[in-house]
Amino acid sequence: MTQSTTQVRAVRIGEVQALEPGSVDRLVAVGLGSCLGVAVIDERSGACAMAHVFLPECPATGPKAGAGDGTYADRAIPALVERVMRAAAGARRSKLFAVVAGGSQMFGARPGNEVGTRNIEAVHAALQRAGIELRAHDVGGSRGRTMRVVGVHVGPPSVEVRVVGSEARVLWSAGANEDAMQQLAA
Amino acid sequence: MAEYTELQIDALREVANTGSGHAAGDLSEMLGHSFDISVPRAVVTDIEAAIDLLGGAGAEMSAVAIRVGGDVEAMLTALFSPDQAANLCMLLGIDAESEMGQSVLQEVGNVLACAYANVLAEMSGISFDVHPPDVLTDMLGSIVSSLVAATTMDIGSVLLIDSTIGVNDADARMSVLFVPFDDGIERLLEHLGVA
Repeated sequence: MTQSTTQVRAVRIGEVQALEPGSVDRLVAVGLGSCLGVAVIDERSGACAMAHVFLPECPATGPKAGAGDGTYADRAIPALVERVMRAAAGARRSKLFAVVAGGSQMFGARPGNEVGTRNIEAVHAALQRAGIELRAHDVGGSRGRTMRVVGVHVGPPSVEVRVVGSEARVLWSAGANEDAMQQLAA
Repeated sequence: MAEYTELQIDALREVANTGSGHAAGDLSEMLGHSFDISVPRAVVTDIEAAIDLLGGAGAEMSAVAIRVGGDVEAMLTALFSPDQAANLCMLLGIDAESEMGQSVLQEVGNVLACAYANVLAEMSGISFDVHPPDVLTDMLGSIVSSLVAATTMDIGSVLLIDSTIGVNDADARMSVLFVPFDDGIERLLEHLGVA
């Protein structure tokens, strides 16, 4: 196995970043409020792409139409699928799944403050359109989150979520999934 | 959001200047300490640059967020670091962790919002409502991005008007963000005579 060093790469608002199979880099979206972190993972190769989604829908025209790939939920999901497929030669669309975190309402439930909820709905709809299964999510509520995709040498990366003042917790990992399966089987 | 001229930015800065001036006066009266304010900066930038400017996405902050409504809608948010909140409460002889501490921070937020609402009313001749504040402690990135998503629905150019209010010494400063809603800013500029 080749020696590789871990790089922590920030996924800033509106960005999409990819993790090659076998990369031990970490993709981190810090301070997700009403924003959503969306990771699309190829289970077989371990390739992953992550977006920091800001708003639900891209306006059809006007100056905002050309904003970054990850800014709008409706555009971010197809962009993520494309990036994962490009990152791994053997990736199959049917083996892709998604992990999502964020979409909180930081300022209480008042008109104009429901962006988080609309972001969640828009991501769900876009995943459905793309035929991507949602495996795990931690969404809603009133706290901000940091989402971290942790690459490993072999297999799919794990996904962690942390809120201010608490420990990070694993939202999805291949191992945890097997444990859960074994628990179900036992 | 459109581009702004230097004249328009100056006019918005003046709103913040007058608003935080009134707020400092009101706080002095209420709390019996001397307050001072900085010359506010009005920045039109992208949201990530705005977050970096205020201390970085991961910085923990307490925020008192208030919606000021009327013909012109805006979110007014006072930001304190945990240290600044503790220092402010200490100056006032109150434990920041206590219920009293939280209510003092809320009251400080209320005073700020009312001061700004009064200034806007004076400048435009329209009266404004002040909604009850939300007090929260979270990551700066979560707070500011949610604020901008809810008001301007834009990522490209964010208008932040930031002024600083100090109490006695620099350790108890707070940052005050004034973020007008996208559809209200044109009217605000009109009322200020710089549309």
